[in-house]
Amino acid sequence: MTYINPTTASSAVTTASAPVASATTSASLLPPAQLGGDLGDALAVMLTLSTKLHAASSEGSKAQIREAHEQKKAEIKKEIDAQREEAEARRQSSGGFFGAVKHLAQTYTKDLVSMRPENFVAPGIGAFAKDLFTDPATSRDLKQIFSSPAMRWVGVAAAVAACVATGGVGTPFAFALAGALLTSASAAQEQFHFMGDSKWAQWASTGMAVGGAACTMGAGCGNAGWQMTVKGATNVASGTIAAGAGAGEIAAARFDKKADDAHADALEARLAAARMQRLIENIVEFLKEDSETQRKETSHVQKAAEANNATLVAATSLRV
Amino acid sequence: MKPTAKSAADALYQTARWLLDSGRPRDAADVFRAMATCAPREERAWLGLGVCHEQMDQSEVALQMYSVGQMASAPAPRCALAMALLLRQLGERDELTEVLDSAARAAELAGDDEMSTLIEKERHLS
Repeated sequence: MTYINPTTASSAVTTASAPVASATTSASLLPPAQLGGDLGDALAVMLTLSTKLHAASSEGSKAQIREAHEQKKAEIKKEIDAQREEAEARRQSSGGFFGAVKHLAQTYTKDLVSMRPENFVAPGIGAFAKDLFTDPATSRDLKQIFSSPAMRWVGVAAAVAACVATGGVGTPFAFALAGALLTSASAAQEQFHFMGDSKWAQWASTGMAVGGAACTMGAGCGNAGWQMTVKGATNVASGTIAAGAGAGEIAAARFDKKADDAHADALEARLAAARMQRLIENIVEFLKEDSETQRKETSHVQKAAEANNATLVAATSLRV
Repeated sequence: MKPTAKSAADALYQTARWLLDSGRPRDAADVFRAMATCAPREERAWLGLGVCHEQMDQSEVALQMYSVGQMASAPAPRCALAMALLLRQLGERDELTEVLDSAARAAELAGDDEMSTLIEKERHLS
């Protein structure tokens, strides 16, 4: 049997009977690569093994991506649910402007609030009240009118009643009416101080002005955030405004604990979704690099085949 | 095509041999190492590892590879002869004769006349 030593400078050709060259090295002891026969099979096996290895890696990565996607979807759904819950909590919260208005009405207009609200929703009465407060021609008489305890809070009560009555239904007209009344009452307070001159009254006046604008906005866009359920409206819980509280607190909504928790959950879910997104991006980058690595390895094997073919040709030409 | 252990070993040897011939002993050692892991009774794997370490100037490691090869893939006349050649190169003549005798016995056991002839030649040169 003959073989070629491709690693030594002097390619010694040996036969079973001829003495070998003295320059024997350990490298020359390595048998030649398999010539002919199943060489192609061997390389095919190598490529198959390499492909299987990368396929397993790719499948694993794809499974990771699928799992990350599902987890991200779950996190997004969790965030949506948390935000929905948060919105519901805010809506049902006893805080907010309307909570303050209810408190105001309850504290100072107990007798008027007990009346049927729909009596104050009629356009005529609303317009009358509006005229009373805004018509300069009648302003001279307004102070006298407001001197009456019963009439003192009519504007505020009417506005509250309108909001209460329309809670959950939210007809634009009712909102506009309430807005006009609240704004008018605020103007009346500023001009006539009919709610007195206490610091609280001053803040309440600002609150009513804000509420008036809010009601008008609600009438214009039908913002559900300004609506209350009838049940919620009639459940006069403790308001967020204590005596002496600032106008900002009158106008702003304060979250109760449930809303705070929902908000925290929404934030956590949002952060988790961001983490999932980054994980997905990292896995995609890994797959790109893995594909490139496989391409290089395949190239090596192919070059090995080409080199072996060249060796085969050389060996064939030198065979004795 | 379903790969077999032998075909896989042949494929690994083919690749490792090409890397070694391309002057990349470190890469070839990785493949020879994988081959030795997959087929520990393959003399070619241990011989190839030894050759790679020799080319990386790691003679002591090469001697270890040749020793392990003689035990794992006995009889292993090529590993024994490679060890003898390395010992002579390192000037370790005390063990050289004993190793050459061991190589001759291994070649006889393996029925490898070519190797027997080569070993005899090296005996004369020693």
